[in-house]
Amino acid sequence: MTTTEASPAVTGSAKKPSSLRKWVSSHERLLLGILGVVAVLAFWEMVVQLGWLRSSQMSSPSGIVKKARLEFVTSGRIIEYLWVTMRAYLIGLGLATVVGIPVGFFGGWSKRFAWVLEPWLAALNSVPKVAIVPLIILWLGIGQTSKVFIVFLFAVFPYAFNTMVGVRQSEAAFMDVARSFGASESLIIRTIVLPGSVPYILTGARLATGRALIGVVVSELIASNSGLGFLISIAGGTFDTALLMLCVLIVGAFGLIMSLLMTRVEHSFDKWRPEPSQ
Amino acid sequence: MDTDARRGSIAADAAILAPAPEDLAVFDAAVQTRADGPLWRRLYDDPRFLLSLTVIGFFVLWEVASQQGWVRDLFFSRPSEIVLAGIREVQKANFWTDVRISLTEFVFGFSLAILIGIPVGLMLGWFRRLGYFWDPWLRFMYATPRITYIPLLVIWFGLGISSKVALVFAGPFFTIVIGTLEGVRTVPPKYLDVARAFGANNRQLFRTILLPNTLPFILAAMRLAVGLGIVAIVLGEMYASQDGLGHMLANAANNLQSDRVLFAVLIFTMMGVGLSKIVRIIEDRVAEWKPQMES
Amino acid sequence: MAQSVLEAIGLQMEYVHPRTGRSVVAIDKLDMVVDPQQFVTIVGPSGCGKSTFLKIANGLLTPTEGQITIYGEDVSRAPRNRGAVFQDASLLPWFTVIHNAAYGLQCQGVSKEEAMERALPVLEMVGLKGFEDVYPHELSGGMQQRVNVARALAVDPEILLMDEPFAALDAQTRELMQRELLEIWGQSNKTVLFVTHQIDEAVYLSDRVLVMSARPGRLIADITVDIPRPRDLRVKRDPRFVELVGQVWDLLHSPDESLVDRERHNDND
Repeated sequence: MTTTEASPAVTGSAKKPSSLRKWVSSHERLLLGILGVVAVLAFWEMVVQLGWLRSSQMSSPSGIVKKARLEFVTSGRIIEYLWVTMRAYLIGLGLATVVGIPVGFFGGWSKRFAWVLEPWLAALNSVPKVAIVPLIILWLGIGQTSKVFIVFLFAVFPYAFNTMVGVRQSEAAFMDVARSFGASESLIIRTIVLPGSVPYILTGARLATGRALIGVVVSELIASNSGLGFLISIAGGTFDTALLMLCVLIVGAFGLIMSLLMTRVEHSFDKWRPEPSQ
Repeated sequence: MDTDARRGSIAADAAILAPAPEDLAVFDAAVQTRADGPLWRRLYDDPRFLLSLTVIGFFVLWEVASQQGWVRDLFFSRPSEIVLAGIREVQKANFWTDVRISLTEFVFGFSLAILIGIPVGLMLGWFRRLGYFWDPWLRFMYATPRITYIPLLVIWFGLGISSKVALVFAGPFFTIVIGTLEGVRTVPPKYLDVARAFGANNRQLFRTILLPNTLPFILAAMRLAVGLGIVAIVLGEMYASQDGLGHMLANAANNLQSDRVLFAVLIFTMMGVGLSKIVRIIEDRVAEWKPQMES
Repeated sequence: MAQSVLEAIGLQMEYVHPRTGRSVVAIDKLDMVVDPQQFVTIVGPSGCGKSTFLKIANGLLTPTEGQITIYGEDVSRAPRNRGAVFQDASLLPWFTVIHNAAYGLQCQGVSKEEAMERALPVLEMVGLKGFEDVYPHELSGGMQQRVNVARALAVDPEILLMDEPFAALDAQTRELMQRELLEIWGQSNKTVLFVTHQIDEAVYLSDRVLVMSARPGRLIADITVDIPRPRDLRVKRDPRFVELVGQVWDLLHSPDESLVDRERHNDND
């Protein structure tokens, strides 16, 4: 990495840097990150132990661990709830993929379809979907159906938009080449449009996974009798900060994992892309 | 946008999740419309006509379907009812109090996020090691949906305005910090080299290279943050509040008044669009000099 | 007399601006022929319509009037008889070099496996043996253009249509590619229609140089290049070479009076 060093450079000493020092400086980012996590956790623990923060306001890390053991090992309730949330999440996300990508494809491919579709998509996208959730629950009731539908609504837009952009930016130059050789439309789609839009679709997938998570938690928070969001609302009602933080952790960790996973998938398509210049 | 998109930066996310209406193809359709030709052909080729047709058609269909009982107006209401509900609402003093409260919460929270977020982001970006130290927490907080914090914030701040302000603060804050951070980190080193070669001090570097380069990132993050802020307001007020527009929405939903609900949705949508538009205008003003930043 | 490979008859290309209604004549009543195994270049300033001409020849644009035929068949109907080499190599980044070279054949309906088999010797001919499984981004600009040429040669066309393929290369690579192109051409005995705005490139490569003026696009001269082949790059310092370049230059930069008057007339319409 060639980012410029902001802090003044350490003046070199006469002896050669030990291999340990070299290893440390090349893994600087990772080490500092770990240090950051550990330091904050330690500070947090201390703050609660010393009583600066009451545990009714904020649980300590050790409290959360204890809670986790209680929930996971002893009671198992959380596992069941996790499973419920997962199911709604995956089904909703799957639906969004299956619907969003083709819609996006036609939006990018057909001029007229785009004229009509794109403004509608943009308009629907600017409606805060959270505000619609009560209506949907009114409509579909409390239960799996409304949850899946809400997740679908949240996740479908990134897919549609991204695919559309990906298809639309199919390089005209490539299509000129193919057409001059007399290629059929289906060959053009197969060899130019689809491969070219894969990176965009993957970006859409990454964004969609994040949004789907929000969708499922929101729907469970507002009106549900099972699932992670429901657990959060219970914990909030009983001032159980340890449980609350545990849930935050789980949701956050899940979001992070999905995001990292998708980024990795995106990068696996990198072999034919030039290295980004930095 | 290509390399940004692959690295999942805020700027790319903003471009996808919050596109501006002006970017839509329908407004720059360069179709070889024949000046002559039968009317239906000309209309079929006109993007705005097709769009207007679908929009009008949708509302007409909705109204008719509701009146005929094809769809339950309890769930969907109908355009006429929504308009009437809107007119009724607007005449209530309560409504305007609610609007005022919601706007206040949003403005406070968002301003705090900007005022604190930008300096923090600048620092974290400039002092690399400091940035690395906080990176994991930042990423974690950004990846966690703010909604999961709602009960926690209620415990800390109660049901009054402050919990909503805190909620609105949370999302945009991390977005703006990360966006600013990225902006600082991706300043092309060669600009800094040139300036240093001419003997510029840190303050000049900051003003003439860092800020201009980072500004588009900050603005893109802000655009994204507006959406997050609106969501925070809606959720916070629906779930943990006794007033505000979101509370009105939840209330109406509980009373099965879908026309009022949809009216509230409309107001929120307009808020979001209006605010994004403001950010967009600022963005365009600032972006005049940047050749490679395509929308 | 053998039938000419490519023939343009009364070609006219007009653009009408959709809103203002003004018309721009890109190509004005153009007639020309290319005979078998000739290397013909169209040279002219930017925007004179030469790229438009090639687009029509490639079947990507429909002319307002007239037509281009290849061995008598209108170009819009028979894609198999020509091979296009574009200015931008336009290699599909997600395919390997060999697949890209085979892409032209694949477009024509040949199966991928067979296309790649047939493209292999062509790759060798352009000097890229050993690079089959490399991805385009790993190649230099000159090498990418060679794949570009290989792709066009692989379909065994009646005529190669080349649109300023060396424009994006640096000066030295460009000259080397010019010489290589002549070698490949010598080996393959193809007919070539080349388009460029560089006069020395045009004279170096061709048997005939067609000079085209801008707006409206019109052929103003057909110059035979009588420098013997094979031509080394040193030929560029030959007095005859310099003379020919000068001729073309004069034609392009000081058009005769009647031409100027005619253009002024068109602008006032």
